[in-house]
Amino acid sequence: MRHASLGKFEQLVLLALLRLGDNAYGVSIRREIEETGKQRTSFGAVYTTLDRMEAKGYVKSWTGEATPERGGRAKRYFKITAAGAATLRRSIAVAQQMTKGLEPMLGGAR
Amino acid sequence: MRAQPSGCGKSMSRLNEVRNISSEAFSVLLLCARRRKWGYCMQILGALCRLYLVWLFLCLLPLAIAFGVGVALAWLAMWLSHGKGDRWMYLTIGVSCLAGMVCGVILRRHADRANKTGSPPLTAQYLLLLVPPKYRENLVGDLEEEYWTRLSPAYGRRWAALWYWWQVVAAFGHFLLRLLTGLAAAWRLIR
Repeated sequence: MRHASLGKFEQLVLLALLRLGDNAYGVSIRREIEETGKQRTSFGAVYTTLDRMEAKGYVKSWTGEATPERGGRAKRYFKITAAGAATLRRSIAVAQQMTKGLEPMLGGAR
Repeated sequence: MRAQPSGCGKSMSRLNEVRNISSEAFSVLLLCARRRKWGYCMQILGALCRLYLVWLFLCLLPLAIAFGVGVALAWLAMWLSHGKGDRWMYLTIGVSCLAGMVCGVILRRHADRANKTGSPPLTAQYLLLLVPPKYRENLVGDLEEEYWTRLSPAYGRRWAALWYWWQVVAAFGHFLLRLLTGLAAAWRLIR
């Protein structure tokens, strides 16, 4: 059976959603990727990825509250779905399977 | 959270006022576009265009004053140097141009100081209208939150504005790329 695969950035976004829990919206997701994932990114990249994964059914979103520092604009919160979590788990397992036995060649970079 | 302008001059406080009004009008425009009230959208767009012209005029005011000072000094130099030889005339024109430039730089610095806590770049906000409506409001909100809470206090208005521009261009590029990829896929299917 052929499973859907995830790109590297999609994996990062889904992991950020898992880490943030109920507080996952544009600003916090981007900050999490930059601070924990050590990868520079833009809001455009985050939103297009989230939009694509929402269409695939990996994440769900809902409109949250508006705050004054956002100029009265509402936040959109995101949460990973069961299908998204399963795909992420499979994707990580494939990467781990592929790296098994290659530790000496990778020079201890784990 | 939105910081008020320090008000170092009448024109600068007016400039900030115009920016704030435009920002509010822009929010209403986004709301109307989301609810598909196109009549209201056109009216707000008209008002925004007029506000933009006023804003442009106020922005260009320091430059216009500097240019005026330069021209006036050049005329004065030509009048004073009448009949004293070409070298004297060129020297005085050069000095008066330099004085105009210094005047422009001083006014520009004054404008920057007065607008240290200003709003995100208005033109960049207009560009965000080109982003698909689904996430537009959230994207604008996210950019504004990051601008006010993190970048503007930490790095200053100029760097924050530059970052804002970069984010807008990147967002626009990403959405455009996605649209083109979709169109290319559809074209392949049709062929």
